[in-house]
Amino acid sequence: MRRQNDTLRPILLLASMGLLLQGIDRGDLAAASPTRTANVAPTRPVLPPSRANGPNHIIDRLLLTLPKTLASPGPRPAAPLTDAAFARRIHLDLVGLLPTPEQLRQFRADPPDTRRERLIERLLQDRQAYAAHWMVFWNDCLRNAYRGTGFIDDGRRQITGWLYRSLYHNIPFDQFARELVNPVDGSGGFIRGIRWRGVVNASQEREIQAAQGLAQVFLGTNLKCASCHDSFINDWKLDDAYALAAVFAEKPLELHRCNKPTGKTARVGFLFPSLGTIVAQSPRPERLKQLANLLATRQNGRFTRTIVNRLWAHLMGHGLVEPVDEMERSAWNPGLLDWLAEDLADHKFDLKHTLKTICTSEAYQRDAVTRPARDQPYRFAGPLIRRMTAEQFLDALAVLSDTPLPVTKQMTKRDGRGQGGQLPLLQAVVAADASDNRPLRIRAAFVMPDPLQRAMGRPNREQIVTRRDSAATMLEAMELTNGHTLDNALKAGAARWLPKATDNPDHVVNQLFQRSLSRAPSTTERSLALKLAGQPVTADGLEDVLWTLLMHPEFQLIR
Amino acid sequence: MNRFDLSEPTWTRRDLLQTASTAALGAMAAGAPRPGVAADNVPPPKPTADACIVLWMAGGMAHTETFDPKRHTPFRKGLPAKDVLSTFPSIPTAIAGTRFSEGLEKTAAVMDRGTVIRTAVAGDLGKILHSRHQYHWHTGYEPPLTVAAPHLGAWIAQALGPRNPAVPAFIDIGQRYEGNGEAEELKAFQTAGFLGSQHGPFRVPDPRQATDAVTPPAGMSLKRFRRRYQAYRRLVEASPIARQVSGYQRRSLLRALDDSYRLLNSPAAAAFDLKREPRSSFDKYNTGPFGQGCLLARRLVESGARFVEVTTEYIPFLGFDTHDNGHTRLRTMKQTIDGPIAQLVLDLESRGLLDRTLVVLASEFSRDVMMEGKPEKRVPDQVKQPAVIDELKFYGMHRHFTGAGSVLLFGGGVKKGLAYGKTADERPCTTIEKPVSIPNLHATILAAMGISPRYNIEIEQRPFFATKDGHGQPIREILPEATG
Repeated sequence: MRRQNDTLRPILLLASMGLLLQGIDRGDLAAASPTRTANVAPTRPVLPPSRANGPNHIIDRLLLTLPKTLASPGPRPAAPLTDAAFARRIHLDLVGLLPTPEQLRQFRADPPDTRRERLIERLLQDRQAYAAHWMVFWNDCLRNAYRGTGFIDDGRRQITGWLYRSLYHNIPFDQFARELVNPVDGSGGFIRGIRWRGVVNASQEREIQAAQGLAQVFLGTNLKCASCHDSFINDWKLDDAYALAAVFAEKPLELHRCNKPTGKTARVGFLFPSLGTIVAQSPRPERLKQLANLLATRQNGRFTRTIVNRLWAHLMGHGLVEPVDEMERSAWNPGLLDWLAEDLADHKFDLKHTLKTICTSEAYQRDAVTRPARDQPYRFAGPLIRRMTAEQFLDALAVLSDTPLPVTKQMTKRDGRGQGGQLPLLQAVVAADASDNRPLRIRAAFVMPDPLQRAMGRPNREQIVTRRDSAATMLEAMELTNGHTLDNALKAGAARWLPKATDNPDHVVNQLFQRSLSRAPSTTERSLALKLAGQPVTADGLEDVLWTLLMHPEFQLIR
Repeated sequence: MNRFDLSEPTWTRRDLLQTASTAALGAMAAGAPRPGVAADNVPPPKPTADACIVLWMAGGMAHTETFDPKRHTPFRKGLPAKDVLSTFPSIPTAIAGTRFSEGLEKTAAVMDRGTVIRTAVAGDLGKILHSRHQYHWHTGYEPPLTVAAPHLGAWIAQALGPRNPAVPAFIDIGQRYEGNGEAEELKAFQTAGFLGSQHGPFRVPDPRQATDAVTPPAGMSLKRFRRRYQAYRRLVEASPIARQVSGYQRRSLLRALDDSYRLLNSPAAAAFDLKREPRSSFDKYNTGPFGQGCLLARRLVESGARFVEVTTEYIPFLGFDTHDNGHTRLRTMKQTIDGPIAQLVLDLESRGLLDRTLVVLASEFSRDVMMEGKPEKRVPDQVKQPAVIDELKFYGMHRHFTGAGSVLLFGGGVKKGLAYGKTADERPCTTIEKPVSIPNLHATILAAMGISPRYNIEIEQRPFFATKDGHGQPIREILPEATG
């Protein structure tokens, strides 16, 4: 297929889109060179026997088995999580919200031996809360933006309504993927990609974007390099990337190498031929159906491993395989990855099942630990400390200031380019659910991005983002110190709390600590906060108390 | 030292002693950018500039109406459009034999301090979308991309860091988003991309309200602001589980708040306050937001900013985006830019800063009466142009021309009194000698700042270069002292 003289060409010629390949000379890449089919075959690990006094949970049993390459014992497991810390973390992790005092009361009223599992179940059953939280994750992954580049020329479509409905009803993950690849009403935006006006590099044509997106999101592999030339970072060839892209193409697709036409027509194929074939002569809808089936088949262990690894990383701060988009790499505990993947498939691809499985493990219910330094090998001791996302912060701010997030016209009315208008779609999903008579609660996941959210790491969804940076930045702090979004919320919050605080400042300080840090203040903290609130309490003073709590590392970090 | 002396935050000092910067800490997340191919990152060229100011002529500035005038054809009814090359007469500049278009007298007079490039060639991106070409100019890459490309200013901020820790390294002045039909496309490149938001931009959307960016909100007195911060620090230290919540996120959060507190509280914040500028000086700049932006840029560079961009502001069909009335509107635009550009150069010079401050003026492409695209790559016309001009509104450069464009460079080691490159004197007035590509222009800017064109960061396992694919070559003739 390849012209022989390609190998004689200077590497520089192969470069395009800035994704240059000097890496070929580097030893570390050669060492990491994965195989094409790693982590594809479904594997049922041999479960370690349950030992007396040992853990029962399969995750914990599997964590006791270390691969031979990690001969030395790992760090000491972190201490078990207290109930209070568990409640706070599980709320943030599963539904993205801080627990309310009522929710904490209910939790504590449950029997000690079952209260955690019951809380996990309650949270997963709250369809609105769950769907809103996971919208953030999937909007990033599927680069679904309410407004953004490309809409200007009808070069982009939202999948907002479809996505929310799918999460709300927790449709099986294999169906979820199939509907994105072989679109149903409202889900076509993902493979449609983003198109700006003008000429684009051949490696960014729509069908190639679709191939890249599918490979990254659902198979945890990078086709970006191979979309332009044979990859130097993994084993994919130009031919592989084009074969997958050709499935999406409306007409026969000509191979372009480094944006130069080759005169060859791409074959049609899937990355893992062992799973089956796609009939090149079939019409496009038929090819998409075949592709969807190959992607989400029970036999595709890469598909299940990729998603369970993402969920693990979401909850633990570090994947079983890292980076989470390079699933060719070995897991640090392959048995655990294999088991989670098979367990998901065994349970009808129910992501809530996997979330519950991980969250009920002793491994999850440990104190969070600090991320090891980069040059240190990762060894699991417990979940890593993470930072709230922009959306978690805004939602918490809304609760703490007792002020709902503002609804703008952009959110309620779709403009001529197809931007905005997301709320009615979401409201329709909730309204159609007879079992939930609450109106749609406005969550940060649904609002338009503002400078504060952008500064806190909400991506513009131009590219696929499968993980957000969790370090704070000065620009973000500037928004948090003098930005309008926060200032408005603080003023509204202070006004809300002022009447109560005038009557009983002590009670309000206690309430604010409970709601923000999920605990009562210490004596020192109480007196510091009361002093800041003023005597008598002023609106300014209360605003300042709210601000200090919102900026508190104990508030912003998920432990 | 008093433990709560707010001028010297204790944990900042402590943290600064640690080797890991906030950026490096943030980058510890797997999959995040890391230093790229080391061999390409050293040795860096010796810098000839410490700071850079980009003056952005947003919307497509016609070269034949500004810095590269051609034969002047005055307006008359019945004028054949193909006869029009320039709608203004030309004027002399401080460079012998080099002429500018009328209305740029002040800038013309300071050209003995800099270089005019006549042959900046824009990319071939097909049917014109301004923001896409602006993206191309500012990042060096053509969208869409599979990773979020950083703005030139973010590269410089990331590679060099701030000059003054209290002043953000990359400040972007003058572009508002609200109500702008291409706001999303602008946001796509006004970003540090994968380098991470700590590298900017710090945005000042309206220079007339620059102090808003660094002033605590209304109702927040400085006294209250300090008191709040003091209470905050006490509360953090009093937290019974403070020790449990350690690690880089905590440090980065506290450091970020310290940095922001430091800026809000520092003399640098005063640089944002244009009211502090003497009236006579302010008036020299005050042609509107762009002029005030130039003044702000000067004040910020004086206070230690690393990279500042000031835009005439891109708003579709306004400013330099002349789809009609090109002649009339260019007259206004020249009034807007001429004084501030010259004054900026003169002020930097009189303060002894010009030698170490590179000032760059550029636009996403040029314009012409007839040609959309460039001779060898024409693209679909977006503007109707009657063959015979009967009305003044059709008199001007209304189509998007990518074959040549003008760039000005001053200070920071740039050759003084140079006119670089040659364009044809007849339509399409395109580049005929010494074309300057975006990668080479960027390489020249970066070289002046002491950054190799092959400076790179590894993202998703591959090096991503500060100039496209690492191919940029500094232009020696323009930057004679540059090494590397």
